[in-house]
Amino acid sequence: MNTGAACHVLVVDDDRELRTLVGKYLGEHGFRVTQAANGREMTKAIEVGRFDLVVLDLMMPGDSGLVLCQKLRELNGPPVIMLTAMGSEVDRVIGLEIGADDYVVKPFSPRELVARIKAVLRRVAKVAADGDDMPLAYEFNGWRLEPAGRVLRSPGGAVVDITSGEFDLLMAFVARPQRVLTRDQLLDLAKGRSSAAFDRSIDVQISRLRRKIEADPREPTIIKTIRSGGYLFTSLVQAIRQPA
Amino acid sequence: MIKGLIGRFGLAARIGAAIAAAVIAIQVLVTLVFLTHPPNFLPFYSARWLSGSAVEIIKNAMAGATEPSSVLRNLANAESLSVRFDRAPPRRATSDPPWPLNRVLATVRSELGGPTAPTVEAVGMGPSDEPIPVVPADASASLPSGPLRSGEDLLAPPFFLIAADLHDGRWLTIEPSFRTQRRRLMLSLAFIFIGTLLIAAIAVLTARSLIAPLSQLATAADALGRSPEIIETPRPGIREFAAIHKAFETMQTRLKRFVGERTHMLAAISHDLRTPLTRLRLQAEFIGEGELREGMLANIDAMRDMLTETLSFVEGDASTDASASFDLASILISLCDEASDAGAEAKYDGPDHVTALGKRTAIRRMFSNLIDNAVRYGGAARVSLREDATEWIVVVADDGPGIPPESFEQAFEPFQRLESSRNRETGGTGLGLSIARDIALAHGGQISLANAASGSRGLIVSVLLPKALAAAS
Repeated sequence: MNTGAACHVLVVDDDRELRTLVGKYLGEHGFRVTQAANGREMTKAIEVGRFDLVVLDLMMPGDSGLVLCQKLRELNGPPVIMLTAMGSEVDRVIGLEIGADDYVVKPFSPRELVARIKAVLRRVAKVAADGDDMPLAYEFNGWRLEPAGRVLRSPGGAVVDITSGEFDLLMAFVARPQRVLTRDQLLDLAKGRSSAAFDRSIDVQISRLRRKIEADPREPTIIKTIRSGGYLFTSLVQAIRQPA
Repeated sequence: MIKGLIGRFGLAARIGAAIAAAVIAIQVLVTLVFLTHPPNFLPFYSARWLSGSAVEIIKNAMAGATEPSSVLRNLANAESLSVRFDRAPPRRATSDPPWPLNRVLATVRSELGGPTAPTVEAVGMGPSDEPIPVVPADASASLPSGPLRSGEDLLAPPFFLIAADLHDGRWLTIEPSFRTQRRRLMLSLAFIFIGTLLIAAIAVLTARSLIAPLSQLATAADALGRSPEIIETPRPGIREFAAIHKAFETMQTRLKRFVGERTHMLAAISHDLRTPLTRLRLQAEFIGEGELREGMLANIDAMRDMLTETLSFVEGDASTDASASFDLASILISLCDEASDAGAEAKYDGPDHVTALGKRTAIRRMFSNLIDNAVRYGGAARVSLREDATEWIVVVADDGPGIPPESFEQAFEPFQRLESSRNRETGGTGLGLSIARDIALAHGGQISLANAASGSRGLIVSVLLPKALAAAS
């Protein structure tokens, strides 16, 4: 179930028209789609069918998306992408902490939704293959990268702002430290979430990332350029899985 | 308990009580002084007593007493006279003083008698050292003279000096006791002083107890606009203040409810619009490639931006973000990079890392708005970050036409768009600067506008953030 083709997606949203449109769009992009208008329908659908992913609206009458998401987590159900109208950072983090795998903010571009669905499916497939779950945080050279909140902390503890392109690139690096990664590999690994930001070349993203994490961006020590064409993340990376 | 008792009185009763207490305190003081130091209302001396006392004093002195206190011993009303020993006769002494002192002098002389009697001289003296005649000089001649007859007495004025030559090189001088009078004067001064202090103390205490609930109300009123919570203040005991307090609480509740309803409504509208907007966004995808779809998508994106901005303005202080340490420079770098990725001209000039304390997402939103404005209205954003001793200074400059200085303040007002000088097609809600200013102020900072110096174009937005960011918690 690597991408598209046979993937079965359950769309849960109380807005019939929106549900139908999402279903239609996903259908056009090779997904098999089942719709549910509320928690009750969702539970029923889950009992009957097998789903690879649930697209879940946050604000619904009756059981809210957060409650349903928690329920799915307890059932050890399929991964969840939240549709949220609330854009603030706090809600995003809460949504992810409650167990959602990703979120899109309304009004979203359907292309973005498809990209996220594919990214989540890819990640899930990788976890299934490696038996490896997303750690709480990665630590390197005193820096700390928290995937859930998309937060990067400096050795001094200050939150350092990074663009989504830089974040995805850094995630690709910390998951594969001390390995030479070619530009193509990086492009492929990092484009999961933000394809738009990668209109810029990998080299530009790398130099921006260096400016954020290197003591001297002109003499990089963490991300080194390899002559044969590629980059090497030199630092030791520690994956933190238990809350401190 | 006393507080509870006083608490039941009204404002008028309290002020009245304060005045009454002050008056009573002064009366008590006056009575005490009167009882312990009864005033000497008649400063005149009895001529008989004076001559008798003078004789007694001179005799004591001749008997060998050398101290003023010892010559005055056993003398009735001794405190009314002061005595001193000199080496020379007093300058003002005369053997022919005006009436009635001439009679006092004659009496003293006759009573001392004998060849060893000291010379006694007297003078009437006024405050200005001049003799004050009690009767006109020509009338003096017709008045009786010589020593006082038995049973006769006269009133002697308090201006006299009786000097006696003791024939042993010493002169004895007897005068009315000014010390007693001075003490009385000091006493009355002290009394005025103590009384004033007493009144002041009572006034201050009363005023303080009156004002305390008012200060609490003032603090609460000041906090009203800042805190989303209802501000509790203790109910004052004074009836009138309790009424104000109640009115204030009612007002506060109504105000919060009113603002809450409005905010909620605005948020609800902005929020609910997202679902149809999402539908629209999805529907546009099915139109197929073309100019029509691109136009629709652009409009939908513009609407989305407005909704996002309105929501963030409405949420404003309600942001639950805690203050935390963050990298200010990285925010500016990211924002400039994102803007240039979107095809705009945006440059950052400054250090790569600057650690600050505050609400990171709010600070990011502020600079995002400013850079967005610069790109949208000014064609380019030139961002710089520098520091002085106490502040970080972030300047966002653009290449646009600037805005007239008289419109600077207007530019910060919510939903204001300075259309006269700016392109109507550029969109936006006119909330960007309002939000930015709210955020800067909430962090104890400032935000100001200026136009580029003559010769160049552009608007310059300066944001000052204190290094010890007074991060609104």
